[in-house]
Amino acid sequence: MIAHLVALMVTDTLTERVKSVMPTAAEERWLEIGWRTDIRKARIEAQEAGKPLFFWVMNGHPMGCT
Amino acid sequence: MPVVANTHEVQNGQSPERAWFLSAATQVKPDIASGITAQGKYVLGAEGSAYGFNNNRSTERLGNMLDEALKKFRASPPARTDIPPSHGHPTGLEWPKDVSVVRTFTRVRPLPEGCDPMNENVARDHLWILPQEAATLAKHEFPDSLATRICRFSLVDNVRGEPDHWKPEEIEMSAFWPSGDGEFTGIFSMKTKDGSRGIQGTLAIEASLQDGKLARFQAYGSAAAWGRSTYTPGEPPGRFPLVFAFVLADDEIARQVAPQAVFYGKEYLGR
Repeated sequence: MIAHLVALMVTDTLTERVKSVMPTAAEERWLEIGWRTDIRKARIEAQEAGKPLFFWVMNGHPMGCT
Repeated sequence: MPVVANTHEVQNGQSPERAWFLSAATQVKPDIASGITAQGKYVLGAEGSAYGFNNNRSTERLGNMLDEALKKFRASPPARTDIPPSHGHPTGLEWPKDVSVVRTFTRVRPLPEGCDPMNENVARDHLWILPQEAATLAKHEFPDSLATRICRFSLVDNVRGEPDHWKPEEIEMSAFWPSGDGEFTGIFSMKTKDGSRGIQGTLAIEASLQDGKLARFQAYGSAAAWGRSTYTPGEPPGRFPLVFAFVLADDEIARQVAPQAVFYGKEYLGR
């Protein structure tokens, strides 16, 4: 806790503090998948491509809350 | 074709997309019809057939489901169908005109020694800022409606799952004031009536407008929290540190994914 507070004191800009909380590249690897968020457009796209939909649904949008 | 959605839209909302999803999903998860959550991963046909379902984190079980579903899809591909247009926003939600979207991140940091690994997560959500609230920020005032929305719906411990948001009467104290050119400071304290869950902290904010639109909005929050929500067990013992980052977002995800608390009613927008 003390080390964290000291780090905050020497981190002088709000931008740097904000960046310190943001996800790392490793934590955002799942966003490299081309997730579709518009269901209708995805259905049309799947139908045209002759592919099934891999449909991930959660209580809390996978791209948003948690 | 990878697709993501919220049960609040496709199970509880009202839209052609909901009708299509429920018709398909109940073929492989019939208990949805009795109100059980539709959470999970499905393989569906564009016309409304269903080929597989899994709601297990085992990569082996998921892989097996995908293999089996693909076999079924190839053996019985869906017939072409006319896909009806969406009504309004594709999510079926009332989407405020010219709303600004802020992406929010939450972490437990520093991580208390020996705590549940779920606390290593980074949580994410969205925050809506209405045009009239942005205009108020430009006048170097912090709008009460925005302060309340941030306290109730954004300053929550969502690190281990979907949080219980704060009720109006659980805001013990909230004050936001201008502290520099385009800068604001906030302090907040929220806790449940029985005191079993709470949060106290500060928020530093920078905001500016260009051509009448919010062009910059970022914030950093630091807080002490305690307790758990209904669906966020595994919290660190006692008081634990939470940090927040808010950044303006203008991308496809921001335009398609509503703040989670929108699904709890119009009070999200202070109505």
